[in-house]
Amino acid sequence: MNQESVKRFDGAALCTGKRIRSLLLMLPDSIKAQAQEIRLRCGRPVTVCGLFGVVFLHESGRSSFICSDSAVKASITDIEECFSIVCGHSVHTHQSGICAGYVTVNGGHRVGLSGTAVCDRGVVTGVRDVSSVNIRISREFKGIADAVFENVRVARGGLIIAGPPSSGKTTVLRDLARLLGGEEGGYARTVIIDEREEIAACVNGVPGNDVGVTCDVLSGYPKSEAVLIALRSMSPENIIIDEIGSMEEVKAVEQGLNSGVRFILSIHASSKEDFLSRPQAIRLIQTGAFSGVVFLGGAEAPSTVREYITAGELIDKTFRSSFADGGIGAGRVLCGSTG
Amino acid sequence: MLTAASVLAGFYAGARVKLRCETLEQCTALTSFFASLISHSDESLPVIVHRACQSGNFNRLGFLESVDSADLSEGFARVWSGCVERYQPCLDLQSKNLLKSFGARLGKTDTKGQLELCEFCKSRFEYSEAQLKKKCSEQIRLCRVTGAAVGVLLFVLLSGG
Repeated sequence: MNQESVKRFDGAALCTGKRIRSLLLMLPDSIKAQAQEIRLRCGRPVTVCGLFGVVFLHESGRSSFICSDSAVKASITDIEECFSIVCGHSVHTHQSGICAGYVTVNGGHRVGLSGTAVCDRGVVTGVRDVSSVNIRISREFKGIADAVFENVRVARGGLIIAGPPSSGKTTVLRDLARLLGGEEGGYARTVIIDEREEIAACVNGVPGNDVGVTCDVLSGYPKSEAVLIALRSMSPENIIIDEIGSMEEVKAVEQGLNSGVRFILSIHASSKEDFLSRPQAIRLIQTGAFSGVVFLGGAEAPSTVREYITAGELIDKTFRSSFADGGIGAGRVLCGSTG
Repeated sequence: MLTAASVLAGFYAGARVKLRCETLEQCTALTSFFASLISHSDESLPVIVHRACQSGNFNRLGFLESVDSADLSEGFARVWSGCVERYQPCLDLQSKNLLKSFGARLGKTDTKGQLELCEFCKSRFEYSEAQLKKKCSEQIRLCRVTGAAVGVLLFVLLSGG
């Protein structure tokens, strides 16, 4: 049994109030080691989700895979207590995170929050009546990125890691940072842009996870600004960024590519087709700065490499699909030249 | 000896009133301290309480050190309220309740809400402080004069008897 995994679960359970916490800590180590999420929903049973499925808690300390009337339900007080602990008893400190729907706590665990939004001109300015809390357990798996690291070590270009939610993208990036900043990576100068504070999980400036000896961490910085800050101040050889989403972030990466730094990014995409349908992904590939894309397996097999496709192959697919659609590309040029 | 005891009692009562004035003054300063740190930094409440203890400006508010060293797993509001009840005996009931409700509402809303809370509590403490200061000088004088008068009367009665 991986005792480190069990400790991580116990650390995540500290986010909950006394009543729920005592029941979670009583779970068997086999469940704790494989748990991925702890979910509290107001008025409904508390669940622990993982590769084993969904487990329900009971007052006696028993856990079961069947939801029965005796399953422990999260009350409004439990949710409020959990919310207060997650915010460090200071909602104002985590205002922007709460409006974005999540707060990252000590240990790098991301706590998702949902409730009733308070909006001002279409912008979420606050959340009231928090109704659900989802504690995603952060884990370190040393060696999980060994297969991906080979692609990084051999190729000169950057790497994109694509996968659906809970496929282990952040876990792989974390281990890649450790390898790049360690002996295997030649102690390369690596900067981690850790906007959600999940990769390194720094507390008082000290990384809570092993991210290598020569890694610098920019915690909480918006990605679009952090790239330029990293380039100007840390002279990195590699920059690691988790979950590139907006075009603004892609443009920041493009600006950074001119400096010769290698980028290792993760992006949401459940399949090749999904990846190719995203304009941000196409734009990144077309920069020519990425050697390929690693597609990870889904939540049922997190952090496992399903497929590696070179950038050339993907660019070819992009070209062919635009040609087939009769879009801007070779089709129209040919028609023009013969006409 | 009796005279001395009476005079001392008078002075003691006066000193207690003065202590209450100073405590209220520091309560007012505490709300400003919280408002300042909440608006200028993103620090959490436990950190702000720790800074308040370290500043040395709140020596009359003994409950702060208890809050600083307490386990907050029971909830910040509950810990704050308990510490005010146990370690702040010199405040009157109204001021104590105000201080408890200040702690109960801290950390529950966004920055704007927190600053409004601090402003509200600050104005209430300032009002109580002003009322008490007005009576303070009169009470101190009254206590001292009464103490001295009782002492003299006792001396006269005893020496006469």
